[in-house]
Amino acid sequence: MSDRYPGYDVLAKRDSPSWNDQTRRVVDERLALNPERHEFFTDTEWPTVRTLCARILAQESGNARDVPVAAMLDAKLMKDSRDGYRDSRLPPPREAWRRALAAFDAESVVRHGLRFHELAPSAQSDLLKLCQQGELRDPAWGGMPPSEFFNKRLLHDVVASYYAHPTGWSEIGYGGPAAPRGYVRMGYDRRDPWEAAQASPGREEEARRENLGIATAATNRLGRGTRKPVAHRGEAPDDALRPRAIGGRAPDVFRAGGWVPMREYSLDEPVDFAIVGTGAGGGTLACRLAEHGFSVVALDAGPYWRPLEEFASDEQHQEKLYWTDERLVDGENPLQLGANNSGKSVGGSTVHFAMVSLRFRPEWFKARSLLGYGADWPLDWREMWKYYRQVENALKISGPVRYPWGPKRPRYPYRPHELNAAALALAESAEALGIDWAPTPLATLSAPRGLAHPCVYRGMCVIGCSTNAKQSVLVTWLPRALAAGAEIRDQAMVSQVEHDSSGRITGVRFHRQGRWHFQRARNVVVAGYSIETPRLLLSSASGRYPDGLANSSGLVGRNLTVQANQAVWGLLDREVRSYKGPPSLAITEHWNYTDRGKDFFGGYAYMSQGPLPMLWSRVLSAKRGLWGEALRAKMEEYNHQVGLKIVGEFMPQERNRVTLGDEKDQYGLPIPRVSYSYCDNDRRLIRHALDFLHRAVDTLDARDVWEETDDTCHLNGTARMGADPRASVVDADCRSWDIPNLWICDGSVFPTVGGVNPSLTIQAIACRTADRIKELAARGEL
Amino acid sequence: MSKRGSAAINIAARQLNLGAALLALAVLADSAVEHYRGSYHNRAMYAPLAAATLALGGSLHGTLDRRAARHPLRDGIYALAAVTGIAGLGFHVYNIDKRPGGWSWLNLFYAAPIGAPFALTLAGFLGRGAEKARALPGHRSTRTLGMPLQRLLAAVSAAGLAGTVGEAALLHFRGAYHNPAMVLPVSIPPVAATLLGAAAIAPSRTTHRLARWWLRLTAFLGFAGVGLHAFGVSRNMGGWRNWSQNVLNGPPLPAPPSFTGLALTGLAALSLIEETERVV
Repeated sequence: MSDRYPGYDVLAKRDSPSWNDQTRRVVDERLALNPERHEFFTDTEWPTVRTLCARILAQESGNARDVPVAAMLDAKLMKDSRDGYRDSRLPPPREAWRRALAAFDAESVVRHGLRFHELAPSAQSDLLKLCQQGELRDPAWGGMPPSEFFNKRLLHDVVASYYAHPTGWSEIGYGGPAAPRGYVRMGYDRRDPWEAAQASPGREEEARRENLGIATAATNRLGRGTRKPVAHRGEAPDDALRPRAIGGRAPDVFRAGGWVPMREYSLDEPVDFAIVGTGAGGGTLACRLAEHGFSVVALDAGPYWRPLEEFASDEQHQEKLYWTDERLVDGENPLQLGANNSGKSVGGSTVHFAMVSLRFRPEWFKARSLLGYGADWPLDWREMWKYYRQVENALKISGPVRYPWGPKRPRYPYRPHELNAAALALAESAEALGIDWAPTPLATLSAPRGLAHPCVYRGMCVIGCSTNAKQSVLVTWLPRALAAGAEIRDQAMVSQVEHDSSGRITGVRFHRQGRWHFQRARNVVVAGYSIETPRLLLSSASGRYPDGLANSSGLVGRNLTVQANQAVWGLLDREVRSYKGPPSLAITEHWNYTDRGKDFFGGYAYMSQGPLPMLWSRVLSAKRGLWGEALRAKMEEYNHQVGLKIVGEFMPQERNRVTLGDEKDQYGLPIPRVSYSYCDNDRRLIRHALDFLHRAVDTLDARDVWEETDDTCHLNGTARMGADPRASVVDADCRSWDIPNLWICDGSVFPTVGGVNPSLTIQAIACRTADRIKELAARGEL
Repeated sequence: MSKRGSAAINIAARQLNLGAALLALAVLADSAVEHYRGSYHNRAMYAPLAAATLALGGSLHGTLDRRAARHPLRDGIYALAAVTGIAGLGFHVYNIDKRPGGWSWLNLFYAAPIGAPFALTLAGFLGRGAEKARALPGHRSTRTLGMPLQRLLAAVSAAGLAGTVGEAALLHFRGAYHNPAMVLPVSIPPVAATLLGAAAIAPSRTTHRLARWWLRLTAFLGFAGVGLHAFGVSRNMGGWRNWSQNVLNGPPLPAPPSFTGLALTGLAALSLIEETERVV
């Protein structure tokens, strides 16, 4: 490997303000891992695993600086931690690995008479190439497609482990942990003194001196070079596994170890509203209903975090935010769930969302009548405009002073953030192509707000903001909800919505603290997002509602509509270092508002990008097929890569759906099966977008330009709203047509998805629903 | 002119030096921090540091110098500072202009600040005024740019205050006026600047008395602003422990003293008017 960042060691900053205690704890633990430790793999399997890992990452076996990838993989499998989705052609991870290791040995013995690890490295690589191409056919694979295993299991697990390690970070010049101190200098070829200096030809010594200076600065400050042990403040980390919002108090998200008082409701007294889920839909609604004076209990399957002390600057550790319970994916274009779009935390996916807060184009609310595709919403855009405003104010959205597209909108409450180089690239290319661009309206603070700090540009938004600058539901609506008398019940998994003999909902059954409970409620709101919502409605099927609740239309679970998330990437000669700052600081909605020249329905926005190392290594390996030397070499250009990525409108299709699978989860509930296939219109949109992004990236004089053709993002649909009970699940007020005291309030109700991130619209709908419920209650119509 | 009058003019002239010193100090500290943030990627970014250091030294020398004659070296330094400021303005305009978005709010917020170099020009101009004012007792009718010197100094101080208000307004707008105290520099100094401007055009006892009070308040605000900005730095993630980020990304500590500097020169200009003209 070339030494692009000579002398740079991320660990030199361990005792500087770039690391917080939680990060030190997490990384120390990783560094302490014994490279030979294997609890999951057998002694027979171990040499095969080690060799596989060495080949995939082009690591010299036995080198002291080698990352203990095999041991990291073993630890992951020992914990049996999952990704939150599994290609239905593959068995669960443990079984897949066992079978594959046996198969590699079997293939090897058949071909060479030796076990895999006994082969010459070149022969090992040849066998891996055959696996990648799907050319292995030994019965030992047991029906598991080798190429799927290679791409979705082997590369996915092994490659990311390497770039979850400080050695991998240092090698590619990544800044590494960055909290409380983030970054200041974000433009092209700009670097803070605590960032890696890149060697230019002939000036290697200069870079080495500067990189060693980072270590000296950090050490001098503390007067020693030894690692100080990390003390525990407040609670031990594993306390997060027990419910916290209990005993009349809930965690104070703004203070380390702090608490705020919380009202609690009895299980036996029916509350006005039991809400399932505390994300953009449920959390917002819980707040507004409580503020309207209703008694509210909001349940969430996830833990109640205190971001300041519990979020590490570490991609792998922060996987704790995602919904990683098993879900099967199939169809022509199986989705990626988990980290991609599914959260399991109080605050839901907004705890790790990218904060992009956009309004719908007005015509999209009448897509069928005005634009000729999809379905009409039963909502009027002018009314939604009012609720968008309410949400933007509640989240203190930082946005441009003047927004270039759509009807005039009031000024965003906070000013836009400074652009990083990745965003400047979008701006330059947009100007070269003659289209408008803007700083992205983002739900992260550009100035202090109450106890929340402004953004420090640490760039880790999608793994959880430890600054509290991110205006997630966790730090905005929920503190208000608690103050207004709502109860938030964390780590409470709802299994069933129950009804009485007349068909009216009576409450929810849920699992908490190892036991099953029943919360009585006069109304139930399901707000679990587009997979858990239909899953709960379908699995609550009864004699009276054999097809599941609210499902007389047969549409519950159908019309799952994700959004296109294709990208074009390239390398610039200039340093970009897109790990700094929120990932999507600049945007163009040109193709959302321009219909001329389109050969498809719908639109798309595109934004600048800032993938972190683990994610980026997965993109390069899974999407571009790189591994071995090729991967390591491309990863070394991390600081020069620039990308533009769309959020594009896919068409609703009834065949794309969520159903209940045969396997059961840890609660004994059927796991969901998620089927997805693009339609022709989707493919035309993708083609148009990729061609346009290519043109944009070409204006930047980028080299090594490539297309990421297969990615999707947000989930929507599966319980659409409408004006006709036969063609929709809920009405405009998110009330189910079938059962008057059952409501659905999250992204599931979207009839169409538009070309913008959905969170702002979900929250606007929740605010509207709360106001409508208040009106209905006043008229006695609840 | 009476002995008392000459002494008063000398004090006022030295007060002008002191005001220029404060402005130069603000420019020195501000450009040092901001150009450090900009990694001194252009050598010209050292220029304001050099010019402001000279201006600061010259101004302090002038403040302590009781002689009634102008000092050619100080005069030269002030001219250099004024020219450096104008050159800086050119650089900053160029910086904004070449960025994507051009003259957009975003670039006004985050690109090279358009008003900052002008503070150095003001320091130079008002410093030269201090030098000239020393000679006033001899020549009661010194005119510069077609205006009596004392009135010109009042007008320039008023305009400088207005410009500084503009910069505070822009940057506090960038901070969304999230703290009510952020309204202070856009509400008190404008009154002072208006009264000072009025005094420059039509001096009267009432105007002078009011202007003095508001200028004193403005001078105090400049000091208090540093404290408020220090609090602002502590409000960011990691507080002062994370100084290497927050001093750069938080509210600029050296910015508010510009108000103090200009308030002092304004007060000095009022004294000069009172000593050289009949104010009724």
